[in-house]
Amino acid sequence: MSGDRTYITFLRNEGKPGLLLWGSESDAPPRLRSSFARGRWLRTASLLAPDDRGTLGRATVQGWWLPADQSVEELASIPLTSLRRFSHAARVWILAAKWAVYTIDRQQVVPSFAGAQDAQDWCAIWRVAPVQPDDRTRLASLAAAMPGVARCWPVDDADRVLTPGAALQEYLDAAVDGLLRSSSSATMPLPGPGPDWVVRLAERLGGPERRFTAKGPHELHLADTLNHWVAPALHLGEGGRPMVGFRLSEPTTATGHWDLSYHLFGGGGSDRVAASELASAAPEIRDRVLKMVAPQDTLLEALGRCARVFSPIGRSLTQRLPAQVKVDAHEAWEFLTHASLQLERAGYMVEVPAALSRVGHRRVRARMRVGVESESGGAATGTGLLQGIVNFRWEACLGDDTLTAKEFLDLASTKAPLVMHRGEWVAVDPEDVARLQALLGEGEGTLDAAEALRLALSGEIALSDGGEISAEVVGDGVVAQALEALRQGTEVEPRDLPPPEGLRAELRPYQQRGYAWLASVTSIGFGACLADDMGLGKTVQLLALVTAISAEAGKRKKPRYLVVCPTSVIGNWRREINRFAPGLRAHIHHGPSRAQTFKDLEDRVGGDDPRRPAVIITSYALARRDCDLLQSYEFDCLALDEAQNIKNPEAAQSQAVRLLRAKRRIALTGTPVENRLTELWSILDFLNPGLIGGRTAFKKTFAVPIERFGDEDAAELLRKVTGPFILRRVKTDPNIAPELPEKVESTRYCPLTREQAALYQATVDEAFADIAELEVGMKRRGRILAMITAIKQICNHPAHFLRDGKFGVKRSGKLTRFLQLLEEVVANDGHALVFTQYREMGDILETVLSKQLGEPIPFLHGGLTRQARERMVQDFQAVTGPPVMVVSLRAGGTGLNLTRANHVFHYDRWWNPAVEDQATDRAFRIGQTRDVTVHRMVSQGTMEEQIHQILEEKRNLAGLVVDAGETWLSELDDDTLRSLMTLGQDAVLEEAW
Amino acid sequence: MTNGEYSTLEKRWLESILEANELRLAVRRAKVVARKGWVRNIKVRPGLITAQVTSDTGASCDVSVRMEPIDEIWDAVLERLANEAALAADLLGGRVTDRLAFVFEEEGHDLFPFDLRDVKNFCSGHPDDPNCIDAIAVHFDFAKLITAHPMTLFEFRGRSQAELIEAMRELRQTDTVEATVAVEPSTTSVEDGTALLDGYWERGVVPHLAFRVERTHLSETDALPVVRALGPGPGETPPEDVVRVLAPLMRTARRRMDAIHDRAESDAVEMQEAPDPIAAESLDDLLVAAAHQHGSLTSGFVAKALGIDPREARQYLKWLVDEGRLAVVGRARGTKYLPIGADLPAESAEEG
Repeated sequence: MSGDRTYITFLRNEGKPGLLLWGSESDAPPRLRSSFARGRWLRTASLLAPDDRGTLGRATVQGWWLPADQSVEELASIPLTSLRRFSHAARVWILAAKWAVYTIDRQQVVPSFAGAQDAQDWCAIWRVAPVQPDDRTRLASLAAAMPGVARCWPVDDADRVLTPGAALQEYLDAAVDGLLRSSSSATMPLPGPGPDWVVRLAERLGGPERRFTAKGPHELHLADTLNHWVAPALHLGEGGRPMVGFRLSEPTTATGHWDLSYHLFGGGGSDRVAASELASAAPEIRDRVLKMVAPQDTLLEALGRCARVFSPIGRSLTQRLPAQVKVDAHEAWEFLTHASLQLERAGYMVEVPAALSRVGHRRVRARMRVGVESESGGAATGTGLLQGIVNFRWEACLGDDTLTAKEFLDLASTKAPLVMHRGEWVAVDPEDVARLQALLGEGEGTLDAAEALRLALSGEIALSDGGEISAEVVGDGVVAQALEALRQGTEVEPRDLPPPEGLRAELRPYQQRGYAWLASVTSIGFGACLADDMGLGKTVQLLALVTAISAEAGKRKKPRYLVVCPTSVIGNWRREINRFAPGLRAHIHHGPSRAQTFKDLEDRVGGDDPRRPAVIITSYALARRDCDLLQSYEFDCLALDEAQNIKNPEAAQSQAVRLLRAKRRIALTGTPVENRLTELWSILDFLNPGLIGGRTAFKKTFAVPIERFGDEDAAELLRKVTGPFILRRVKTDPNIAPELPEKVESTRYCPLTREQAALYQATVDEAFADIAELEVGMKRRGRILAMITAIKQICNHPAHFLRDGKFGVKRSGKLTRFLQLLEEVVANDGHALVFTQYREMGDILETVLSKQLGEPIPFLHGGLTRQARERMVQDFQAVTGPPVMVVSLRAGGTGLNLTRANHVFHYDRWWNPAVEDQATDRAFRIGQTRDVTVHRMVSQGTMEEQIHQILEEKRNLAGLVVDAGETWLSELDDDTLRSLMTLGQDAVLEEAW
Repeated sequence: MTNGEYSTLEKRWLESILEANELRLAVRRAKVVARKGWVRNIKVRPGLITAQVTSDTGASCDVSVRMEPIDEIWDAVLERLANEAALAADLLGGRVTDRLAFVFEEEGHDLFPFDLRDVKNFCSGHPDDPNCIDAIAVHFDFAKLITAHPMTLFEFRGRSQAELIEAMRELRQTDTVEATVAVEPSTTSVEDGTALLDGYWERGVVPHLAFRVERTHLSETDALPVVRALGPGPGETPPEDVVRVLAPLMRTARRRMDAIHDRAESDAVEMQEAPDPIAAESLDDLLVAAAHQHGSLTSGFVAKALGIDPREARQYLKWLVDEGRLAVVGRARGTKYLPIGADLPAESAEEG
């Protein structure tokens, strides 16, 4: 993809650390270019780069430079999901920028002094304090992945460069320092009151002036003292000095002592040596200790400092070389709840028994039970699962066990924060107990059913504003039933639910599971989103469900279903219904002569047998326009196809479909919704209104943290809450792959635009006028073939036929549909080959695709030199190659290795299966691990569809038409030919008229 | 450092002077001299402190303070330091604590002057008066100096901190495997450029980093958690005091961070498809699309574009606002119509 030849390199400009964007100008991702364009253009930046022979030398490059702080502002908001488009060097620095934001948000910074050791003038600076346990590993992993080009700026004439760690450190320090300062001393916040030297320090940290002058001899050592003071928090575990850590271990008996042991960590945190082993002679430990610089001094100094945070440590300091201290339960509690946090923040490593920590399970905590039967009688809900409101109640729990009132009171009355309970130490936090007592005192309450389910799915509820304190939530009663039903949906075995009889299709096992899941989730009143990869057959799974509902409904009532889909696939839907579920009537509600009243519509839908189950197919635009009319129904099932069409909840069509009434709601989409969270919200809120909360809250809790910063906690919570309602399988899934045929083939029907239809009609009329006058012979044949060619061109795109050079997408129904499909492929990280037999169409596709995808799309055709073709193939096969390549069928030749593609489009038809198959096989060489989907684009209601059907019927007859090309068509008699050419009634389906 | 009160070290150093009744007047004036910064060029060597004191008249005199260096007991003290972790920790941390001072007493020597006779003052301005105002002023300044950097006291008494640490390390050597040569962390921040060639364009896999980022607006009492956790700072300044001074500075960053978060959020909005003007089906859609495209609309702009009366345009836009398809900011001539979901100015940024 584009962007991988654009680099970001650390570079000090006029002494200021910053980042330089350089490399291929045309290749630069717009987001990076526009960001860096706010900086300064450097004409002659000297960098180290390897030449052709691989020798390092100076290279002069040009590029945009941003100071560190400003680069953080520009880069931090780039979504993580788009990172893969960038070069490794760019990615590393973007991640560093995000880390800087993360760290400033937490104010994990300390003041420090830079400058000559003896001088009395120092520069006051802010530095980052990577004290969270994660921080060190993250920075280390960034440093490890930093490619040479990211730090190839030479610091001196000897061509030396910063180490990855140093470059990262300098960048981050400079970034936070810049971000924490006002640009002018006038706008600088006033420091708070305090000791004189701190106030003067603050003045040099908050504004543009950094120079700090020591006042008098007693400040002579201030720089050293201050730097020494903050050193543990800056320590990245590099440079030799080990880090110091503490580990709290619990006793095995109720009367035993807790043990706080001391440890040293060398080698960037990976080599642990317990203080008790420091004098050990074991070679393995000896080696580790020898690699540390001044381990004893480091340990002793740290202990001296930490004793001031956690005084029991002081007791161990009477020994020569302390290794641990015994503490009692109260002290252990103090360590668990306060001291350990303090020490960790100051840069020490801390290990405590996880089960006793704030989120641990050996802790007496509050638990919310939702869906309970009300004690005051009167069940909250009637028949409908999760309608209205449900009851909840608080209880005390320990791990998974619920505590009885007596047990709780017993534990609470011990007044000891750590007690032995059933042979295990458990934490009874006085704060938790107080909170719990208050909650228990409140008794029962009620809440909205949707919210109850959401809480039960997420399994927790925040008790404080910031969400640091939370309680567990479990489902009971109706809520538990709902959870169970949702859980079962994914576990149901195919044999438990036989495919409906009316379905004329063999369901593959995963389709069977998908159908069963749809049935299960929707049967208890939830909406479901089937988000299978394209080509896995979402339509047939839905039709299985619809058929089953119809069978269940029997003759008593007349089931009505509504499918809302993009106009371009309306025809496709009718064809699939007729093919897979002939028992259903398919009615297209579209066009200027569509029904205007309920009675009219129902007459048309019912046809000659009003009790026959019927599917109404309509477009999003009409669902909105005819919303009132469609609201007269309560559909047995409402399905949105290509549900990403409602991704913008403000759009009128999104609001309209929400108003439609249905017993079951289903959304189908092939785009990976889990990666597009605002889209996901829209779809889920349509399916299960209110269940996942409001959009603003959703954006704040999930979308921004996950999309921008990859917040895994938020992602996990989102998975918990939304998981039961989304089923997505991909073709590469090991559970699915064996069930798939080698190639999945699908025919994509698309309508003509009015312009295309008019051209088509005129061409056919004109041609038949000629043909009628021609004898059977070469001339007639030639005329017919010319007509066929013209028709194929018209179906492709009017510009292909008219050669007017206007490649508007909207002029061609086929191009519109094709782009929709391709967008889905690209969204799924897929790679596609597009075959056309026409060079002109190839040019059109190349132009349109390059514009749509924002990067040059190659077109491989016979007119290219062999070298050019080889380079294109190589590019396409490369990891960062373009997602699509257009190939002229005739260009093929042999030996093209295009195994990276997992989608093959036949934009127009060769009418010769053998040629098409050969093209497909090109994407289907050995070594292709992903299954290939073949899409054949067919203009519905045209000659293309007619011939497609003839071919499909005959495809299995080996050898037929293999070498025949299209000439067999010219042998047909006039009537047959005319019937092939006639435009079908649904050839044209346009959005606007 | 603190008004009216002395730090522990100051008190210990000045004890003999402060307790001498005859010096009460001189002490009061010496304090003023010291506070005004008239003591200059104070230099500390083993057994000797020198300084110049300038008065407001511009007259200047040289003052020296002598105290016999401790020689004979350092070995004994070091032995104690090497054997008791608490003491070693104090030394390594650069603190002169009571327990550390007590070690000297136990070994028969005082770290601090016990009475006025223990120190020999000399002032060039008052060669006859060992306890003149200038000399006492130097004591005050020295007391302040050792509060800020306690190890200066050891240096005055004969050993620098570095010497002591080194000596202590040697004493301990017998019982650990510690590297004999104390290798201080070398400055490994720079390396030869050829190291770049090990993965010049790509080097392994870029990690997947995930951040739990939210707008944490730490209140000023929670500000700078790391500084707060570091324990007493230079001159035994409580960390809370440091945080209290520095906390207001966080406001600058917070503003800039908010802008970054806003941008992240508005990018997220941008990513939702803005309506395509060509696909617009009605004038409503066209206007909403135009609002997305231009960022905002004014009634004047719409009137001109559609060739209608500005009042009509305003009415039209107002309908769209009523329908919730556009948002409105500003008043009278400054009225602007924004697409829903765009970044609104702060006062109207509440989402409904």
